[in-house]
Formats: sequence, C-alpha cells, structure tokens
Amino acid sequence: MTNLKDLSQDIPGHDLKLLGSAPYVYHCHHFNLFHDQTVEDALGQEEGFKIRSQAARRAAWHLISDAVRAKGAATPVERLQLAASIFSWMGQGSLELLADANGGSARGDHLHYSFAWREKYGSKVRRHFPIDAFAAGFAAAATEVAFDLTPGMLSPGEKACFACRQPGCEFEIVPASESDPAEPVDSETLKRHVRTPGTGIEEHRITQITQGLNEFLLGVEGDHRGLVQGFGIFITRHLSGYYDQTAYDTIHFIEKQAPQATTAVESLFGESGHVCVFNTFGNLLLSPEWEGLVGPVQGEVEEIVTSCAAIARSLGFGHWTVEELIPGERLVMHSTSNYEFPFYLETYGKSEKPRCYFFANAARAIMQLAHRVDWPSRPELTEDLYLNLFKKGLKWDIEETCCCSKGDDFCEVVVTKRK
Amino acid sequence: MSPPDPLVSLPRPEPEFRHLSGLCRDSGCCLDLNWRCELAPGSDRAGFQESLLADGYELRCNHSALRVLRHADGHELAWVLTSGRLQIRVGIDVEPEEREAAARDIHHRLVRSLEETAAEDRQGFALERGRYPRAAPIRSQSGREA
Repeated sequence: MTNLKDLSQDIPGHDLKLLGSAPYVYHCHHFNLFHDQTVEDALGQEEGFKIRSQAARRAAWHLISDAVRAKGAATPVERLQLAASIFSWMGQGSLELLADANGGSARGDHLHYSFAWREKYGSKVRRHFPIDAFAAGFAAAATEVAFDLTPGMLSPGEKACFACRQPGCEFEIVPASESDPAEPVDSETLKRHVRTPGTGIEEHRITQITQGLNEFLLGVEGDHRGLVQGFGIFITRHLSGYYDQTAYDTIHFIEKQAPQATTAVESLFGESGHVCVFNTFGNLLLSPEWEGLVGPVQGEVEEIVTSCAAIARSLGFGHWTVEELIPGERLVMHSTSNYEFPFYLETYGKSEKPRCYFFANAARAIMQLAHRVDWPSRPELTEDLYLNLFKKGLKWDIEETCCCSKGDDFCEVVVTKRK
Repeated sequence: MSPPDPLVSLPRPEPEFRHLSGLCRDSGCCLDLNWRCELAPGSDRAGFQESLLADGYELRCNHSALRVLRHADGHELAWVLTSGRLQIRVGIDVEPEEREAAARDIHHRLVRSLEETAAEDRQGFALERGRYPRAAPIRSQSGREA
C-alpha cells in the first residue's frame, strides 16, 4: 500500500483539505447514501448512475493524474496499483483493476456504497440496480490515466453489485462514444475563489479543537479492506468535486426540465446537511476520541455550536465561523471558504441565488442538535431519533442571506426559531 | 432559554465487575457496532495495555489521553485514559444480529485479562516487585485522581 500521507495537505487558513491538488472532505456513509439517493430520486436510477459515474471519473482523473506525477508512477501497472491504493486510502474499499488501453474490467470488495447500503437498508429493502457509480467512474479514470488516454475515452458500468445481494461487485470498462475533457477544480481554483478568512465567537476554542482533530485525523488509517474508521464512524475521504458536480448538475437539470420540482430537490440536497450533522457531528461528539481530545460533552448550546464549527473545519468543510448566537433564538454563521461555492463559480459562473445547500442546512441541524439532544444522557443517535428531530420536530428556519456564489464577500446563514 | 428536551437516553451499564463495568450500547454510525464499559478507577492501566498488546491488539493511536487499539480479528477498542471509558467496536463484517454476542465475548475476554493482570500484579508485587511499570496517576476532568 503506497503511503499517501505526504500528498495530504491543507489550504492554510481556509480549512480545506487536499490530496495532491484535489480537494477532499470527510463524509460518512449516511451522508453518502443520502446524497446519491437524492440524485437517483431526481433523475432516475440509470441517468443517476451515469451522472454519478461521470462526476467520479472527472474528479478521480485529476486526482490520480496528480498522484501519478507526484509519486513518479511510470508504468501502467504502477499507476493502477497507485490508483487502487488511493481508492482504499479514501475509505472506498478494495478495487482490483484488470484493464488495458481498450478498457477491461474491475472487481470491488467492501466497496463503501454497496457495503454501506447493505448495512443500512439490506434487511428492509431489496435493491435491484447497482449502486457503486463512484467506484465505476474511479476505475475508468484509473485506466485512462494508466494508459495515457484522453479523459472520458472509457465508459464504466457495474455488472454485479453487492447491494443487489450478489457476492461481489464487478465492473466493465468499455470505449466511450466521445471524450469528456474537463478542467479540474483544484487547489488553484479554490485559492482563486475563497475569501479572506474571518473570525467569530469563541475563535480561540474553535481553532484549538480544530487543530487537535486535524492532528488526530492525520493518524487515522484504513484497514486491509480499504475501510476507514475514525471516531467510531465509517468515513470516507471523498472528492468534493464529486458531490458538487452531482448536486449542481442534478439541480440544473431539474431547473430546466421540471422547474416546479426545483424546491423539492434543493430541499433534499439541503437535508443531506441534516443527515451529516446528526450522524457524523453527533457521533463524533459522543465518541471516546472527542472525550479524550476535548473532554466530555456537557450539552451547553454555546459548547455544541462552537464544537460543531470546529468539527466542520477539521472535516475539510471550510472556514465556518459563529457570528452571533442567542440560545433558543438565533444563530448566524459565516463561511469564507467551503466546498460548495468555489466549484459553482468555477464551473457554472455567478449564480442568481444562494447555492450552499449543505452549509445552510448544516447550520440548522447544529441548532437542532444544540437544543434538542440531551447530551449528558449519552443518547444513541438512531434512525428513530433522527426522524423525531428532523421530520417531526424541526423548530428552526434558515435563510442564506449572502452567498459567495452570488458574488458576496462571504456566505451567511441565519437560523431563527420558528414562530 | 427553555430547558433541553431530552428524547432518548441509555440505561447505565450493569452488572458491575471488579475491574470493568458491565456492557451497554454506545452511539455509533451502525446498528449495535459500538458498546461501552468503564475501567474501574485504580486499575493497572499500563498492565492492561500490555496484556492487550499481548492478546493481538495493535496500537493505532497513542495520544496522551486516548488509546485506540485494533485487534487482528477486526474489532477495535477506544479507551479514554482520563475517565476509564472503553468503547468496544465490533468488526463491521459481523452480522448485525450477532454483534451483541460478539461484543459480550470481547467484554468477557477483557474482564478476564484484567483479572489476570491484577493477579499477576499482586503476585509480581510479592515476588518480583515492579514487573509492570506503574502508570502515573491520572486526574479526571473534575480534578479527582482516578
């Protein structure tokens, strides 16, 4: 397994993480499944798979190309091995690439999406359509890079999927009808679009916690299956370009083809922020790692909100600050960098409306966690509790009053108590 | 500000063992994967760590306040030195309906290991004093010596 730690870095002051020059973030399987399900719900399974595998191929192509240069991987075999190592480092599972310049096949084991889908839904729902679009796109990109092919010359498909109760995951990689070159949204792009980082309430505490979490996360390594467990949560180091492209392409498609459904689809991508904050932030706060690194959670509103800002920064979500907090009434958060607006500005240009769906809804979820969870009782963050908190008892309204994707100097979300 | 609106809480662990509390579910991202118990104050922490390493655990995190150890069979332990909290993380490959039994099995092994460490320590104290290096006293959040 290739050591990739030397390729991992931050953009100082902006709380964005890079592998080589490719931006990545930490997300757990609850978020990943919800995000991809939203794409599927909006576009259908077949088109959803196509959009997701294409986004994966684009983002992975730049990542793998970058790593190949940095590591001096010269031969196709070396490059394919490096790509498989990156895939496992990301917590995506194990991928065996069996391809030549005309394509070929790939086999996956413990793939994050199918394995997590079986874990979460397998006993309740039977799935008939393959789910591992990310692995498929990644396999195509790896083969293209290994054999110096033009990006997009290969097209991937999943022939067998563990989520569909097949024994393992199998992919075929075939020549595509046309190439798909795309400019990378990389570290230079991010630096061009992020704004001057600000400071907010409890900045010292947030910075200190972020630093401790960053140091801890640097030491977190995957296991032999290519799964990464940190804070008792199965996490991925995932390419933010994948989330951005799939979300924005889906929303744009709906805006054009079915404008009456736009709000519903935007709400679902926003809800992924609830899913992430509840599962990842919540479980992180309850973890032994948090207790050891920061101390046991007391449950004060200010403590939870500022802790969540630190968690967001350490997961590579950008420089989130707490501008105003009145417990029980109001929260104002700013972000001068995050993983949403730089991609939007670079790929689609200035927007007429706010586009940081994740950031805005995560702020609402933070207020919900801060006010409605009895932290000292050490609750289990179950699906039932999620439904209670976010489907039956959501007490907060949000408004994204400023957004960098509209040309503002920072993103601002105002969370207020629902009357 | 209105008081918090508690929704779910967990029962405290039971029954108690001499060196390790009983087992209860702990929060986690997957069903029945994480389980919680507490190391009794005054337990021989250095000896316990040594016995875990001898039992096939590999140290994954050696922070001053925290240890994370992974066993060759896929499960993990996360151990908060300041409070004695020990989280057992059953391997993700274990089927959900078998996870509680797997956690109890790991817990029993930990209890036995602690008992043996304590017995060896008592014997060693009498016969070859100082076999296990003693951990420095650790203070809890409240400042009380654990």
